Amino acid sequence: MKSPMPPRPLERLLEMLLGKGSGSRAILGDLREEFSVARAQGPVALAVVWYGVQVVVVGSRIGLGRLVHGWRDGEMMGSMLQDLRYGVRSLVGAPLFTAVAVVTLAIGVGATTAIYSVVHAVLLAPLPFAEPDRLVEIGINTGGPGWYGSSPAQFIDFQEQLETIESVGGYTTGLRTVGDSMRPRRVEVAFLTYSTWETLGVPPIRGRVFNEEEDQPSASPVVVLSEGFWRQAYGGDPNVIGRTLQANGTTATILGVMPGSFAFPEVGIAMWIPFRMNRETPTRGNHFVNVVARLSADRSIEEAHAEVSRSAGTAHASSRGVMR
Amino acid sequence: MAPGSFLGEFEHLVLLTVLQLGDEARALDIRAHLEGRAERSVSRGALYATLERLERKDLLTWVTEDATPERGGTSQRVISRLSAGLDEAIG
Repeated sequence: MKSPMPPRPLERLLEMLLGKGSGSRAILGDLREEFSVARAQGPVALAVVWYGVQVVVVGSRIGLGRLVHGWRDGEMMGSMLQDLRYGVRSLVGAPLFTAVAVVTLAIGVGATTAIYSVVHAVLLAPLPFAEPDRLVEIGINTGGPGWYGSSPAQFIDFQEQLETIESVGGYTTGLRTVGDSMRPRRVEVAFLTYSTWETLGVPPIRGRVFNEEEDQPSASPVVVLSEGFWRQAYGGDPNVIGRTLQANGTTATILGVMPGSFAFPEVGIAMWIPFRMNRETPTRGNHFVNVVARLSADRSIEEAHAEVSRSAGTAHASSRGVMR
Repeated sequence: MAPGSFLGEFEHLVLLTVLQLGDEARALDIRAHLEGRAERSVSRGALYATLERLERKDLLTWVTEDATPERGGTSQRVISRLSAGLDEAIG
């Protein structure tokens, strides 16, 4: 009489795990024999479960053991090393082909890295500001081509009137000569209203940023350094806070250091200086204040657009939020 | 035996069992014998792995018997110890 056989799929799995060879066939036979005993002594389901367990235990143990043994005895490693040696010999034997291949690979890797870096910076990496999706730039259009910054008077209007905007920051950029007459250097600086810090929501890595009092025209000069300038000019001195520096002949106190990722409004800014806007007699015709604003949490860009247009007459809110 | 290798406790037990069973030792008999005499549960995976290891150490060898209908047409290994295996087992 033919003996009951284990389920074929399980046996196939075991065969795969064990591999070929007379030893593997003998193990399969042993387990078939034991399966037929289990079938004779108990229910089919129990025998099948028992066999499944054996497939896992024996298959993994023997299959893994043979794999490790193969590696240890150098069968697989030997084959790999042989391939490697052959590859190296082929490359050495054809230097021109090798040089072309290496240069092609280098250009390919370099180009791919460069493209990915740009894609990552522009599309993938989040802007280095708090909740950047709520940041907008307010530009002024007087009916003709082009967009301008706001005038100081308009900026104050925005600060005081806009309900769709949580906070408004004003800024502009310029150059300053830093250092004394012995070792002067020209650096790019940004002039910020104190409210810009709140709008952008990025804390300094050392010290603090300037406040409303320090942003007044009559206040003592202060600056906040970029991390790059701090490391370059001060060697990353942890005691830089409170020291002074000369900027365009004026002595300013260093209040804090911003992280390297804070490249506002552009890369390469060495320090941020209080805007010191004249709020008593602000001009209305000179549009030099760039405006960055943070939308209120529950308001949309369309609402802000309409409100800014109403506030400034010909002014518009744009969502050109790509500020790096 | 290969230099640098040594005989583990379970390998020693298996080798002694093969010695006791003479030249008619089969894997299933070895397992049953071990469980009965050594009073320990023997996993099939461990037993088969040990038999292969002892064979690689040149302490055991086996021949393949003809296939039988009881085993679904598969062959069976008859295991026997080599002389080096005997020396190793009895120390």
